[in-house]
Amino acid sequence: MASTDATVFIVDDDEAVRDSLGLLLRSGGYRARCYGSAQEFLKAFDVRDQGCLVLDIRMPGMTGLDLQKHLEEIGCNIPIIFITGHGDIPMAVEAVRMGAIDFLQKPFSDEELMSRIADALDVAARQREGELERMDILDRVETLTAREKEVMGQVVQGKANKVIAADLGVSQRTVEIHRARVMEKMQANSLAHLVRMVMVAEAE
Amino acid sequence: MSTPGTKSRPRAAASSATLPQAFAGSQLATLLNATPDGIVLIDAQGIIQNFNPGAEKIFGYAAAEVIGRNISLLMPEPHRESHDGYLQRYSDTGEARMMRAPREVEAQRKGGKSFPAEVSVGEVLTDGAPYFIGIVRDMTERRAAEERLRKVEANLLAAQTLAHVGSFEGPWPGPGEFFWSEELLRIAGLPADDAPPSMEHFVQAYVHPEDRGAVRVSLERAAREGRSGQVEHRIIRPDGQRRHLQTIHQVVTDARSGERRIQGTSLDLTQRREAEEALRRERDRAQRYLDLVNVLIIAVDRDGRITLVNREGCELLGYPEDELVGKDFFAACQPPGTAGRARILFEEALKGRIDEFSLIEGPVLTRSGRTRRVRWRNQFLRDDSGAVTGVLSAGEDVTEQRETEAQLRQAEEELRLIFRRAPVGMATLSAAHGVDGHFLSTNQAMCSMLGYTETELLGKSMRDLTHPDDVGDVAEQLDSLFSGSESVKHETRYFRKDGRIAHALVHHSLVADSRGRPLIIISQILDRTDVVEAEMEARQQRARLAHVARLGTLGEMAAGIAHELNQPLAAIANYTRACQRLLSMGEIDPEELSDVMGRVTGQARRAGDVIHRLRNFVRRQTTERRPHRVNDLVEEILPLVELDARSHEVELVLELSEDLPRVQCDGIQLQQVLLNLTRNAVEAMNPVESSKRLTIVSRLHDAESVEVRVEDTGEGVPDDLVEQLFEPFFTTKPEGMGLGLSLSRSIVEAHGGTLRYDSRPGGGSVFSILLPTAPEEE
Repeated sequence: MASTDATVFIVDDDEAVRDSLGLLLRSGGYRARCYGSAQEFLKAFDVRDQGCLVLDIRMPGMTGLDLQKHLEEIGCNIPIIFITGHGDIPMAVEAVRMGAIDFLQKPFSDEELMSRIADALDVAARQREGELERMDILDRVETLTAREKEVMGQVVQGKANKVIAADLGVSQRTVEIHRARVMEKMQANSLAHLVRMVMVAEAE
Repeated sequence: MSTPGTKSRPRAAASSATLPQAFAGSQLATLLNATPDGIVLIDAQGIIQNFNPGAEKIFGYAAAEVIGRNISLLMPEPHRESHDGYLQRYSDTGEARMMRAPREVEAQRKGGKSFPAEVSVGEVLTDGAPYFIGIVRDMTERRAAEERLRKVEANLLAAQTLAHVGSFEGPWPGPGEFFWSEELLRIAGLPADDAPPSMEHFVQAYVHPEDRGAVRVSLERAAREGRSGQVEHRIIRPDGQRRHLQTIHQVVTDARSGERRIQGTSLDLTQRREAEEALRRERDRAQRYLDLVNVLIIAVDRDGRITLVNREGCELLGYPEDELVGKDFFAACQPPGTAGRARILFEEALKGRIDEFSLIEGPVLTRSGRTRRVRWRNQFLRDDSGAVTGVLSAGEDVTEQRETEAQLRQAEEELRLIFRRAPVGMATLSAAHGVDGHFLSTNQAMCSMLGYTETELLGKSMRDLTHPDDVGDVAEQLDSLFSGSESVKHETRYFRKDGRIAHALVHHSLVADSRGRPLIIISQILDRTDVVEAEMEARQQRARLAHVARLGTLGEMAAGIAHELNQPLAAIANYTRACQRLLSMGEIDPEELSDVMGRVTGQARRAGDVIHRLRNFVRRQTTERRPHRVNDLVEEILPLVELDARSHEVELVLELSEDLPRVQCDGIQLQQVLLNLTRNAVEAMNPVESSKRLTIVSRLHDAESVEVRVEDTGEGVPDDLVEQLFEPFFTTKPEGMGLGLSLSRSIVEAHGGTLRYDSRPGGGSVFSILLPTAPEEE
C-alpha cells in the first residue's frame, strides 16, 4: 500500500463517475478527494499537498488540459492521470506530451487505474525526495561565504587550486583552505559528490 | 456732138447740126444704132423719115413699118391732134415751139399700149427743108421706180410711226435749218408746225439734264471720229412727259462743199423700257418669291434647256444663275446613268404620252459631282395658243428626307428584327379594353414560351392566357398604367397551350396618342418558368438537404450519445469493482453496499435513458413512408457523395437499373443509410493507394425486392470481425463511433428489408440493402 500521506485528487464533472472513482480508490486503500470542476480543485489545492491528480480531460469551463497547463505555470508538478472518453485520443496524447503520467480511456479496468495511481504516487514521492534533497543542498550553500561560493564555482569546473588562486588573486594556500571549508560545509565526501550537489542546486 | 464715140449720154437738147452731116457719116449711124434712146426723124408734115434701133425697141415697130407714116402713129389718141397743131403752127408762123427741154409725154407702142416717155425735140434744116428729130426715152421703169420709192417713203413714215423711230437731219454743229421727221416731232411732243430745233437746242432744251453729258459726248465723238454713235437717253417733253430714246447718229461731210451735217434716228424706247421695267419688277417679284420659297424652281424649254432657275435651284445645283440658264438640263444636271431615261421621259411627257409626269422623283447631279434626290412637281408651260413651250418644275430636295426615311426603314427593320428575335417575349396589345385587349403582335420568344403560333395568339386577350388567380393583379397593374405610370412590372402566370403553367416577369409600357389616350401596350415577357421551377426545385432540394444534413447531426449526436453512455457505464464499472474489492477485504458493510448498488442501478437507468434518447432521435427522423424510386434517392444524395469521393480521390461509378419498381420507404432515412454506407466505403479506401472506386448499384433482386449495393475497393473486413460488424459500438475506424452500421441495419430492417455485408471478389466490401417493393398503385 502506498504511503498514507498521499492523496488522490479526482476532478470530473460527472458526479457518478467521480463518486464511483472515489469509492474505487478507497477500495484500493487510497485517500481520495473529489472535485466537480478545475476551479473547485484549485480553490482547495495547496501546492504542498502530496499525491496525484485523476483528471477528466473533457469538462465544461476549464478543461483538463487547461488545468494541466495552469498547474505547470504555477510551478506545480503534481503527477496527472487523464481520464478520456471515446475519441479523445489526440487530446490525451497532447496531455502526455505535456507531462501527464498516462491516460485511461473509459471504461477502464480497476487494475489499470490502480497501477497508474501507484506509478503516479511513486513519481510524486520521488519528486518530493528530490525536492527535499535540493532544499537541503541549498541550505548548505547558504552557509558558504561569498569567497567560498566563488571557490566552489571554480572547483566544480575542475580547475586546479593554482589556477583558481591566480584567477582570484589569492595564494594557493588560501584556495586550499577555502576548498576544505566548502567540502566540509557541503558535507561532500568527494569532488564528484560536490559537483552533483551543485547541479541539483542549480536545477530549475 | 464734135466728139463722136463719147459715152456721155446724149441729152435731149436742140442741135443746130446739119442733117446730112448728121446722117451721112458712118460714125453717126453707128451712134444712132448703139444708143438705147429712140431717135425718130420726121419732116415738117410729120412723116417719119428715119427710125433707129433704139426706137424700134421702145415702140415695138420695125423701122420699115413706120418710115413714111405720120408720127401720130406713135402717140395715143388725145395727143395726136395737138401734135399736128404744133406742126401746122410751125408751118404757118415758123415759130418753133419745140420742146427743147425734155418733157414727159404719153407715147404709144405697137399694139396700142401707151407708156410714159421723155421726149426732146430738135429742128434740123436740110437743103432748106425743116426736119424735126425726136429723142425718146422709155420712162416706164423710172416711173415704176419712182412709184416704188414713194411707197417706200410712205412705208418708212408708217414704219417710223409704228416703230416709234423718228429721224433728223441737219447741219453740224449748226446753226442752220434742221429736218425732223413727223414721228420724231410726235415722239418729242413738239407741234408739227413749229420749226424743228437744232441739235444743240434740242439737247439743251429737251434732253434730261442727267443724260445731256452722255449725249454730248456721244455726238462729239461721232463727229470727231466720223463714225456712227449710239446713245440712250431720256427727254423731257414740253408737256412734262418723259421718254426714253435710243438715238443713232452720224456726222457726214459733204465732199463738194465741205459742209458737215448730222443725221440720225431716235427710237422711242419708252414703252419698251416701261414694259421692261414692269417685266423686271414682275420678274424680280417672281424671282424674289421663287427665291424665298424653299423649293428649287427650274423651267426648261421643249429642248430641255433651262430658261429659269431660282436661287434655291442654283444653290442646290451649285452653279451661278447665268451659267445655268441656257444649259441643257439633262446633260448638265442629270447623273450619267439616268440622264438618257430622264430625257426620254421628258420628251414622252411633252408628247402627252405620260400621265404621271406631274409628280416625279429622281436624282440631280450637282456641279461638284454629288447626287441629290429631288421630288419634282411639273407643270407644262403653254403659249397663248395652248401649245406646250416647256416645263416648269418645282423641286424639293428630299435627299436627307429619303436618307432619313431609309435610316428609319432600316431602324424599323432592325427594331422589327429585334422584336421578332428578342430572346425575351414581346407583344403589343390593344390598350382599349384593359386585360381583355387582344394581342396585336407577338414575337417568336413569346410564341415558344406559350406554345402557340403567332396566329393563335393574335386572337387572344391577356385574360385568355393569364392564370385566373392572377387576372385581378394584371388588371390592377394595367389600371395603374392607364392612370399615368410610365411602365409597370409584375409577375404572373400564364397557361401554355399544353396546359402547363409558365411563370413570367412582365413589363408593360403604354403608348398613347397625342391626346394621351392609350393606344397600345408594349409588353416584355420574361419567361421565368425555369427560374421559378429551379427555385422550387432548390427549395425542395434544400429541404432534402436539411434532412440529409441531419445525417451528419446523427454522427455528432452519436458521438455525444456515446460520451453520455460512457459516463454511466464507467461509473457502474467503478462502483462494482470497488464493491468487489471492498467485499474481498471485508471493508464494506451491507448497508453501504446496498447504497452503492443503488448508485449502480441509477447509473444503469441513466444509460438506459441515453439509449432511449437515441431511439427517440432516430424515431424523430421518421416522417412518412411512401413509394420511392431508389434511383431518385441515390441521385439526390449524389452531390454529397461526389464531394466526398472527389475529396478522397475516389472514382464514383453508378450502375443504376432503369424502370425498377418503387420501394415503400422513408426516403430520408434510406438516404441516411446510403450516405452512411458511402462514407464508410470512401473511408475504407483511405489506406489503399490506387484504384479507389466507389460503385453504387441498383437492380431488381427478385420480384418482391430491390437491391441497392455500395461497393468499395478497400481492404475489406477481416473475417474475424465480420460477425461484429453490425453490433453497436463496433468500429474499425480510429475515430468511429461504431453506431453507423448498427443504426443503418435497424433502419433498413424497420422497412422490412435487410442490410448485408459481403467481401468483394478482388478485395473490398459490398454492402447490399434489400428493400421490399411497394404494392403497385392502381
